[in-house]
Amino acid sequence: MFPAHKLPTRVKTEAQRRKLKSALNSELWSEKYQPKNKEELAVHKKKAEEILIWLKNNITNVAKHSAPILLLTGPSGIGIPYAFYKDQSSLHEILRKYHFCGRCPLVFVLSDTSSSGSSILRLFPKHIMEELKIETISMNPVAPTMMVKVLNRIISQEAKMGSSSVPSAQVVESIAMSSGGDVRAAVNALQFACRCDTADLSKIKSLQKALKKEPSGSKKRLKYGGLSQRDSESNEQSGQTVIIGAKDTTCFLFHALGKIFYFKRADPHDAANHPSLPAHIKQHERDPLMLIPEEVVEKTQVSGDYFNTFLHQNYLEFLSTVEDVERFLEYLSDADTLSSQYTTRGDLLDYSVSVATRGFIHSDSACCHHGDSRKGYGWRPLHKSQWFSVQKQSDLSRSTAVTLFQGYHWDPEILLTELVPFIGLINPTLHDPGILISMWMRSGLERLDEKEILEGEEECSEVRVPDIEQKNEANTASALSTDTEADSGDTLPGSQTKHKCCAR
Amino acid sequence: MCVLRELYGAGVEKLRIEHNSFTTPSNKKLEIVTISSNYHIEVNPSDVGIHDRVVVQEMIKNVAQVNQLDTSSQKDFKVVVLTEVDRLSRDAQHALRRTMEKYMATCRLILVCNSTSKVIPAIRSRCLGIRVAAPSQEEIAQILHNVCKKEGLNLPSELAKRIAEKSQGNLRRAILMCEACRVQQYPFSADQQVSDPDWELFLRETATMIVQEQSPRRLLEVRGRLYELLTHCIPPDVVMRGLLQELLSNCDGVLKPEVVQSAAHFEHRLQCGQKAIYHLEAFVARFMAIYKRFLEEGIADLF
Repeated sequence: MFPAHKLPTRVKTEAQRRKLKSALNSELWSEKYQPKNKEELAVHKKKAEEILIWLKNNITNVAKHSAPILLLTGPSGIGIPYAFYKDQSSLHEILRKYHFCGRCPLVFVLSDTSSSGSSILRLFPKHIMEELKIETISMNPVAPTMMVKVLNRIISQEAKMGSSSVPSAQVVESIAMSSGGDVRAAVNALQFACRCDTADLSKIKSLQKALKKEPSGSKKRLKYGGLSQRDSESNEQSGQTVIIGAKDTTCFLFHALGKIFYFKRADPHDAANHPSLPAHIKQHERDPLMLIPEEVVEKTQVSGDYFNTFLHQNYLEFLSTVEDVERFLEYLSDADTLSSQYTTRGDLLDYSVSVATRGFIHSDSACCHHGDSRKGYGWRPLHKSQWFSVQKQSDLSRSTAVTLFQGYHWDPEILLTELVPFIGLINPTLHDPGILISMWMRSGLERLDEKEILEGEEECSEVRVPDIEQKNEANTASALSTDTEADSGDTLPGSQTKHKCCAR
Repeated sequence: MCVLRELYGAGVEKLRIEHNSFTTPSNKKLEIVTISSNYHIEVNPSDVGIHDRVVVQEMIKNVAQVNQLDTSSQKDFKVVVLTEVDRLSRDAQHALRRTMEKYMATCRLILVCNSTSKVIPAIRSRCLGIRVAAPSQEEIAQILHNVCKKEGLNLPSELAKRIAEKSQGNLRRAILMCEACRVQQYPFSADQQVSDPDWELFLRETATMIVQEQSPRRLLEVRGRLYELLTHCIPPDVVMRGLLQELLSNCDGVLKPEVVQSAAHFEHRLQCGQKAIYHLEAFVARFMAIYKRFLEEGIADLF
């Protein structure tokens, strides 16, 4: 598929690179320790099995049927090679041809971080997926425990070859955690950590001594991003590990909303300079927050405005009294007014989302203080914002109505509030397509789903929303009577359940 | 129309609908529909939203540049009727000011608007203001009788009166209501039901729901209904106004000032902001809070 003239240069660069490496005697570990067999894969066993089974099934079937195609998706750097992009329409042509004449299964591998999440949809739109019966298996980020295992294996192999420095278990652990599930990044960071005999590492080592009282070998579960929730001591540590190649973890919209809705407050006695309010506004006093809402929103890579619509769609589930709701809506109204002016929009948007998120957190009177337990706040399904679809629908009907009554020069407002309803009354048989269907149709809530690509009216950036807790889904969903069945078309039920097995 | 006929004779009734297109300075193509005869042109510039300035200027220029051929038998000017002048953007209104003076010789303007409060003073001072009041109930009833006579229907005067009352001075509504009544039941009976548009009924039900229960869950239901109203293109400010009216008729007199004040507050927000639903919902929540507090105090007073 490469243009012929490009090949020589490629080979040459490859050769050059090798030469360079041998000169430095330091091959990149991520290439040196590429997985050579199934056991070395950092991916969960069940996931690997799933792929194997698919391959086996299809290799035996391939003679009878048309060539099957598999799409592997997952975050970058978890040990899957890359496919390259091509002009999409020609790709679809090739795919179709292959589907009919191909003899061996074809596996596409795509990385789906939120920035490139759109590429899956662009390269493999739904109709193509259905037409060619493309199966999709999606991978999770590598679990931290698994990551530590991989790193330790590499360390032991390096040690056999007489490596100079062996990093401590603490360092390995922190590398594993800061990598955010990216094996490649973790291995690179490890290599750097081992080579680096400068102050960076010793600093960490000295820090480790201070941390010795914490039992490192205990069976505590490792969790990405869990660092921020630990005590301040290990916060310092996480600050240190950033030096050795941590990834900027991005946060999916779903998680970000969850963080805001299920916010936690810290113990005020731990914070040294927590101000207290005078008596007359004592009811507004809150214990310090454990998260910074602005950071959470920033990580989602959606605009503040868009985030606010989601906040608005879902907040009612989390506030228990009308007074709280009233306060929050006042804040939200402020936030909307802040960001509405076109000229100042760019500057004020950040403040707007800050007002909205902090407004929500402050309004929740059920959780003012550290120890407050939030009763009945089990897991709630989150929904997609209805605002954009409502607006789209209303624009559509408006333009239909205006074109239907073109030339009468009625103000659209009069047209829609007076004429159209009465025409419906006067002539019940007249059901014009478009606006005159005066049935009050019920628009169901759309569930904010895993793997959902969201496209807002003004949003070009699309968001991938990763796995959600589906255990409680069944009972809460029925309570809310949402028609999830209708739009579960774009989810992948098979792989979703398997997802769960791997995550557990 | 009547004025124009007086001026030009029956020729103005030969109407044609035209699609005119204009190009903005930023090379955007605008399409606008006009109704015109040989003597006049009627246009609603606010159809094109923020680009109305271009339409106003170009349209008047085009019309004014062509003189009438036969000035001896006809008036030597054409008429441009601009509707919804109060919805014109500031820019367009300023442009209009200049344009209307420049082409005075060949072109006269009739500006139509609901309220002059949104028309800039510069334009107001250049125009002769004629206020057309809403017809009184008797007048409406009389017109309804005339219409029914022409249609060959027999309209009882009580029904005419009730329709006139219900239309609140809106003649278009009154005639529509009358027609709706005929479809429902003919021959008319004096006590037959006069129906409102279904969205108003819907809004009324929504208001009742708000008064019945004040809880986040109920607010969620209300939100669903608000969304439905918006989906059916009922403008948010109309929803707000309707909701306020219905709520006021349902709540105690002591609360009214506070409710109206909060409605005014959020109505203003609604005009400033982008996402109408926030503000509508905020108003509903505010009402719920006020009403709930009132009820609780009432209960406390009882004991």
